[in-house]
Amino acid sequence: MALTAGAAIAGRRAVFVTGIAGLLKGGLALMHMGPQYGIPVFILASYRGDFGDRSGISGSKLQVFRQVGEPFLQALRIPYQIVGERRTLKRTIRDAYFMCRTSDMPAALLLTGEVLW
Amino acid sequence: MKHSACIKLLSDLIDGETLTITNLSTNARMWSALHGERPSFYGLNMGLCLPFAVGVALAFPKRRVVAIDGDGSLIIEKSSLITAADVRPANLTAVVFDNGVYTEMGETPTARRTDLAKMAEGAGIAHTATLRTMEEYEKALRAALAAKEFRFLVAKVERDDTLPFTGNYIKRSERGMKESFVDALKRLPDYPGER
Repeated sequence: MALTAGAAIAGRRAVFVTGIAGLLKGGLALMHMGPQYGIPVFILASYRGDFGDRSGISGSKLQVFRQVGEPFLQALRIPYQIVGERRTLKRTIRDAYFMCRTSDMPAALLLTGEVLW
Repeated sequence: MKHSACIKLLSDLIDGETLTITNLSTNARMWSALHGERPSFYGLNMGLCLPFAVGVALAFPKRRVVAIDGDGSLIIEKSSLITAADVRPANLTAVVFDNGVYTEMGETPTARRTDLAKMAEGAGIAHTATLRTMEEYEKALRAALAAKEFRFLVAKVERDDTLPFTGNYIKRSERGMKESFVDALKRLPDYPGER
């Protein structure tokens, strides 16, 4: 997360690609890069536990991500969108990245089962 | 070694073209006194200094970048060592000032039995060193700043009872500091983004 922020602040196109566990682990970094500094960190994260997740991990283990993922982003006031259809993915990435760079704020896309698997 | 003496020497050896990134607290307060308005990102929170510096170093591959970190910050985000070892920017030097305690927590120890340089070596960083005297420190620092490879230095320092010099970074807003840094980067001829 912080590496992506360092590259982004220095003018590079940078994307933090992670599972949702990595996004949650990056909470401290995201808190500082977002509300504190206003650095355009662009995040693509898997949205484990959403409908369509057939990854083979038991549902109860995945549900916790569904329970805390969005409230976590809302608490940090990070704009996000859930992407549930593959046909909208390219356009959504383009739009979210534009918003991220022009608003000097992180933005996250949560990619659901249909998009990932 | 006195922490302030080590910071002062680092400042003396760095040229005006170098970008510096600091962690919180003592390092940032002293560095802002010595480094003034030269391009520096001050006061990154726990664990964020080294990976942030890696990102800046990757963005400016032809310019020296120095991460000025602390032991408490480093050990809170150890995975950054693995990433730094993996991408190993040749223009990055990391200097970790290890006073053995979380500064803001008084005498709460950071690591009593852990060798930070060996930890970095284990992560895959090829060039690491632990420095205990000013002679060792100056020699290793000069070599690292001239090297065309990523080097990771751990300087074992004593806390200064009172800091001999402190800058005003604490009084500035975080957004203002960031904007100053971004504006300085945009004026550089090798800035890779849109101006």
